Amino acid sequence: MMNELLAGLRSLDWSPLWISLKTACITMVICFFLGIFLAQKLGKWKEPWQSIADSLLTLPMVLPPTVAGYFLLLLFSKRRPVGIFLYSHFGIKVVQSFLGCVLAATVISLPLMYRNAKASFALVPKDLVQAGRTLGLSETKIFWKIILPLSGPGILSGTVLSFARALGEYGATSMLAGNIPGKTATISQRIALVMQDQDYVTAGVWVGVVLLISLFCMTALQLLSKRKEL
Amino acid sequence: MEKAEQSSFCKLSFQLPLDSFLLDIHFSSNKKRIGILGASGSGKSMCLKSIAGIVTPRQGEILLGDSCLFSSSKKINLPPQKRRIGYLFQSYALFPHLTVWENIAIAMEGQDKENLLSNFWKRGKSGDREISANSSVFKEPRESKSERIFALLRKMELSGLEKRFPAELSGGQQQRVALARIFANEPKMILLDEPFSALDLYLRDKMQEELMLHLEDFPGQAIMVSHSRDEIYRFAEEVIMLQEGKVIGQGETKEVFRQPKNRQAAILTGCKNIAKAKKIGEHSIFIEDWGLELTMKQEIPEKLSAIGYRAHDFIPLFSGGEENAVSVQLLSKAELPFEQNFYFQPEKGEGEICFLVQRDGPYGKMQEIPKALQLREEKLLLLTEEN
Repeated sequence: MMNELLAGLRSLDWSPLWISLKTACITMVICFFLGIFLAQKLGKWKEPWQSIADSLLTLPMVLPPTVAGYFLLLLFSKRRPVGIFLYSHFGIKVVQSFLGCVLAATVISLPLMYRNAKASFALVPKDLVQAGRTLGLSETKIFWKIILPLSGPGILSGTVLSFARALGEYGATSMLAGNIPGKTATISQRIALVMQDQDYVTAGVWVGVVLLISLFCMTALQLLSKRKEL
Repeated sequence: MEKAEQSSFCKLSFQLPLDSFLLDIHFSSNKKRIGILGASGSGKSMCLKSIAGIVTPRQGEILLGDSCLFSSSKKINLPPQKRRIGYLFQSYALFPHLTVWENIAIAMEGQDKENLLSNFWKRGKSGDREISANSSVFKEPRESKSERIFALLRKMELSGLEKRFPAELSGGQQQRVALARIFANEPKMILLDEPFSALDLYLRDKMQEELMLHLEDFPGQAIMVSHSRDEIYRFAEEVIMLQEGKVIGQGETKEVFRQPKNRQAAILTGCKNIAKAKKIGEHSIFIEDWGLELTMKQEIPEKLSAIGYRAHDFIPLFSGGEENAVSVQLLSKAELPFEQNFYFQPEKGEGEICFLVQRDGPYGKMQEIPKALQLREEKLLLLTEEN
């Protein structure tokens, strides 16, 4: 068993780890900015539009990722208008590409960032915002210098959660980006693939890797938020 | 001289629907210290928030000096940023993630741009010679920012605390930082929203003294909102009394407290005894609640509907027969540190009468329970129902 494991490790293709990490990092950065931007903008919308936008943005969190994958394919498939347009004019290929990995992960992870950011913006005391206004600070300055810094803990947990979620994304990714070794094969897809061959050893290695990274993320988050409380 | 007077003039006239009533303010004043007195939930804070531009009234106008901050008819509604009105929040609203220094510095930022802009316009409009004169001023915009902050810190007795965060300051220090921050923005008017409610009782007295001192050389008007008549009496030259959004009394503070015009105003000034009464002759009143007929030297107003009598103004009598005295029976008695409160029931009436005796006052050592309470004409408040 031990020898088997060592042999497996030696011959292991590590590319899924790098693809997954790359996807998760890029997705995290996109979610960070996009989530904050949306939370700030949509927070000012009037009802019922705000609630509608809210639900739409949160849907990917509760829907099966394959449903997101379905819609993404519907939009970006090379046989559909948008996909054709993107490919013929800009040479952009979303399906079966690394871009697809990022796109799928972003759609799935964005709600975590958006909701966390929005909730923490709402927790900033109104007095502070109003005080900022009476002191002559522009709305932009109030956002960057008061609301955003005070939302630090919420933004941080949103960012870490979206990273972790992107790292584990499977359903939408496999539909949109496929499972091309060395290109779009992420850890979670690799686990599914090797399990079809009953290869418990390789799958176990990848399970361990994912467990380690996710556990590290969550522990770091816990520790950071505890420090904030003190 | 005239200009200075104009700058300290405000006219408030607006309506704002609140949850359960309509805030309806009509008031103008050229006094420097104005108080708004009202119970909790009477709309006082909303009145200040309307002036500051934090909430928008439904209609009316808000004028400050010669500038119009809000006018529904002229479709003017300046954003709070442009109003230059300092607002001292009940919670002080200091930015918790910024140090004392940064809290003050940030209030200067909004203003810097405006100064640059107005200097720019000045330069653009004036002649050649003036340009050179102005541009030398322009290079050194008064003192530098940090000098101004240091000066403010000194003035507000905060020197040495500039690196602290708000959470590391006492309540009083926090209030001074909030004031320093307001001064940093050079406001035209300062609004004080229940400034002492966040402080321990024993600190309030000292803080009031301090606040008055710090506001002393502020040239503009300041409006303080409070439910404490002591605070308002001490602070304001002129007072507005609010109840359920309506102005129920206004005028010079001393006058309003000495002679409130109606029942609600009398209650707000702390009058404990208010009884239904009617005019029965040119010089006589019948107090229905107490079953007492009063004869007075002055003429009685036609619309009299109630009388007010302050609890400490009675003369206790230990035998009957005196004029303008109500015979009473003791209901209960409360011992307080510096005074005794007696609650009586009039023998011929329904109401309850409160009689307050200061321990070291003229009746402090009285041995018996009084049998009657005599009213003095000059202390009687004649109240009409209308506002």
